[in-house]
Amino acid sequence: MHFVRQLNNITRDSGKSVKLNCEVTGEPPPLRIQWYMNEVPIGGSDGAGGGGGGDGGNSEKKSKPRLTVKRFQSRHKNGLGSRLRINKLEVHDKGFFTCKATNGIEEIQSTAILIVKVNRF
Amino acid sequence: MNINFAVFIFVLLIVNGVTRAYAGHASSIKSHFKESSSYAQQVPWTPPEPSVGGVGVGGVDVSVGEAGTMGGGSGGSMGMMGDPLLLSPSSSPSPPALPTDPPPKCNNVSGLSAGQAKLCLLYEEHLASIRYGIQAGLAECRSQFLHRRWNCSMTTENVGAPFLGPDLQTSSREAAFVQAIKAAGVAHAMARACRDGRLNTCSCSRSGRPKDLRRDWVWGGCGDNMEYGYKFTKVFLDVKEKEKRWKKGSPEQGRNLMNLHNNEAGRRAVLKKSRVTCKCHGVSGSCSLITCWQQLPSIRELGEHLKEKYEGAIEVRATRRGRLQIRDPRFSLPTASDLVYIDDSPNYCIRNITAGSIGTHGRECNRTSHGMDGCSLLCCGRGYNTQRLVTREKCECKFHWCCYVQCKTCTRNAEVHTCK
Repeated sequence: MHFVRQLNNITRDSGKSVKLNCEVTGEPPPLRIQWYMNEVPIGGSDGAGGGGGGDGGNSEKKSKPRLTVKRFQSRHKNGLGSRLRINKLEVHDKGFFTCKATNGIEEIQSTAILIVKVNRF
Repeated sequence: MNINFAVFIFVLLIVNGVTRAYAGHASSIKSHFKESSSYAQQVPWTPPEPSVGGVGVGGVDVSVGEAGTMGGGSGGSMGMMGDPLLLSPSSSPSPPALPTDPPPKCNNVSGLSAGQAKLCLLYEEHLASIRYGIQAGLAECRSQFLHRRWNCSMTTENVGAPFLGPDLQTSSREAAFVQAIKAAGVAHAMARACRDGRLNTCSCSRSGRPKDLRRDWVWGGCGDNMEYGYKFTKVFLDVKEKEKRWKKGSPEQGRNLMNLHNNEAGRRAVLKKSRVTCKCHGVSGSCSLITCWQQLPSIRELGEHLKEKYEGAIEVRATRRGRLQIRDPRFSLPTASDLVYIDDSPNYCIRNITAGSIGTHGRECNRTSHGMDGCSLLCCGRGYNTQRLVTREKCECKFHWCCYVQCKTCTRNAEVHTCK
């Protein structure tokens, strides 16, 4: 199992949005992709892990969550993709983002640092 | 302004009469309260608050002084709304001195969780203020509990020196206070560090002008950046409680939820106790110009507020669904500003290190007091030893021309009572 593309460090201005793509392929095919923000699992079945940075939680129905994780179709054979998107970036969204993929036999991970720049104080 | 914080879902409390369960955790909290927009408008910056009269500006202070120095404590004060509050000097008095030690580095601070260690690398210049905030919080804890059986002692204190301060092992009411006062201390220190220009990532508060500020008063002195302090503390302290996925309902998970709740209560204390402060400018306090800004409370005010919350702390337990639930349904549900605890406190009379009590043996007590510091209560009925101390000290000193000082030697008798 290997990454089609590793995560790369990203710098963005606050207020903008960012997408991190994690795509893996291999044999046996990858089963699951889990995102972590500063070691905190993002979303998933366990409510306690949701939100990562704290305020990006997905429990509020009315307001659009700033942080979303979506599966996407990989064009590679036996591929699996997951996209992490954060809207309206805030200074405190900066951190270490890790994507961990497993196929039940092995686990691989890739980490990127997201830096959010402040335009003005 | 407030729209940004709609994503903050603090609000707790699902009251449907049957479950009375609530989550002590932001991302799994639902609200049946509407965000009170009229309320939020009064407040320069505030996260959504469920309870009426929650986070807000305590009042407006106006100090009448000479133009120039900000918030100098001279002159009288006048209130704008409600009772005039005491003058608050711009630098609130805090027990420890401002950081003078060499700034801490990520590679030599201990006791950080894995996530905190990573965040540390991105926030290294914040470390000195974090340390200051933790120490100020713990000093306030010792001061608030000076005369109590539990005097903010922590039995884990000697085990290493964790950067974020010691914790109490038992998930008690006292642990709740320690957690909250540390969070409050860090949020406070950060807000002040921003204002003082000690961090590259923040500056003075950008909070909006309060709606009810008199029209001819100028808004926009360099205020404490409460918003930054709040958000940074939320990121840096809360990450530790979310890293591990414990079994739902386990003591570890319960403690994580409890800590998250009490961190929030600590941060909110800082917001709740902050207020608009104004200052007169002009020749000899003529007040031809008044500028106002958002001002932090003192650490003492935070300590007093959280001590009240400690007295009214609410007992909860972790459910198998991974939430906190109030133990006694007759009590009202905790708000985000209340403290919650899971375990009963150990008997602080008796030394029991594993339970987190060092006992009151050897503590100094007041023989004539009937209060908590009195010998009968503090010593838990075990009695006390009395020691007579004779101290000799210089007294009645006189200055003679020129130039020497002549003193007499006085002996003073003092009695010191210590618990058996």
